[in-house]
Amino acid sequence: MSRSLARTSRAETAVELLRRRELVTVLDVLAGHEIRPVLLKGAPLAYTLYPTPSSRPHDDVDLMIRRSDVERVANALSARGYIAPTYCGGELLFCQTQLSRRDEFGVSHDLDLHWKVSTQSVFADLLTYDELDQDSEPVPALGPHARAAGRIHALIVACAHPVMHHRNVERLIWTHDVHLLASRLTADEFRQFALLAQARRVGAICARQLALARARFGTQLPIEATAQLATFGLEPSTAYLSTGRRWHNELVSSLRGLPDWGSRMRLLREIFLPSSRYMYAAYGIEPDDWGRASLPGLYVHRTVRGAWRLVLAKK
Amino acid sequence: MKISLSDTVTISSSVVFRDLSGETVLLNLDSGIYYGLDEVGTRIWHLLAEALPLATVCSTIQQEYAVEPDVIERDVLQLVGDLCDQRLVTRASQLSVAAPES
Repeated sequence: MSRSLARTSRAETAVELLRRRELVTVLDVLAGHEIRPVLLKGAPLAYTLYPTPSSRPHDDVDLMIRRSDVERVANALSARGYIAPTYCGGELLFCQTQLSRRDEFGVSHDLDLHWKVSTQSVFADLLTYDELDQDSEPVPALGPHARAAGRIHALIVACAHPVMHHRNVERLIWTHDVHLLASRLTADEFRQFALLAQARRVGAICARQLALARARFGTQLPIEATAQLATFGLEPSTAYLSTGRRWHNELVSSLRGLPDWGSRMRLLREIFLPSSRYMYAAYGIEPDDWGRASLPGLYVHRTVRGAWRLVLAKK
Repeated sequence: MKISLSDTVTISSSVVFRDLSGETVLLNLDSGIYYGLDEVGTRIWHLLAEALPLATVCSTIQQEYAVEPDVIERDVLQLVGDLCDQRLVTRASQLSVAAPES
């Protein structure tokens, strides 16, 4: 057992070494195009909070960029073999896109390019690129161009992440991130964190994640700021703390979170009428005459199948 | 060529490594093959990274571990030989050894 764990640990460390090298190169390439991404979530946390980066596993690297830089990033990295999977699309549905490449050793490198911090409209503007950029901190272990969300922003994102993207599921690794991030804040920074959480209307979510961190890891939290977090009023984001949320709950919350009916209609269109390119790829059909003729039927099939999965509670 | 105590080795530029709870994982970026070093191997690796002559590496290890000098010399030379074979280190130079007086 212990031998097997040691073997796995060495293998993961080797993969992490490859991923680190790739990320340093990617950031170098982007810097050459004057693109300054801000690293979010797993990758920067692994290199700033954990004794060995491989002890904080992460599958992809989250990069916050300006919306206007998305095409430039894709072009800059295409020479390195990065391609976007077909399923990516939808300005409101995803607010992000992915680029991937597989290196000569078979290790995949996946970059999630975000221009909003969340796919859920309620959280989409939790922190903007400009805010993250302004308070970003260098990550020397990831090269001269690596910058990560600042201490306070990183904690806000860590608290919101399981709730906004994973239906409030508790995973020890995320709670441990919150524990480590909260533990390094000074009392004054913690006050700023509480004020920001209040202003961005995620106070209850942050209070919940910090309470979890305290319960699981004994996180020491300043009493005053914690009390402040607990006194926040009703926030739209608290709906995401309910247990047993499903796909349609997320959809309703996202529709409510959008500012106008035009945006809501656009989101619905992106969900129910994805691009023909996506449909061809999803159904494995060539975009020839026969494929084009089949398209209406495929849309109907997809909708009926989705509805059926919803009825069966598989979605 | 056989490695001797008067040699110095340098870590190959295509090798990246990371400490892992007392061990070290070495990854050869040319081959994609990774290797693990135990605690003593890790200590030797770090001394090699300082580009110290192997004789100095041996004497340092001897001061830190209560083992007979000939055992240490044999083990260090064997490890460095293996590292050379796997192209993880390269033989950099040989210290000039004073010729015996006639």
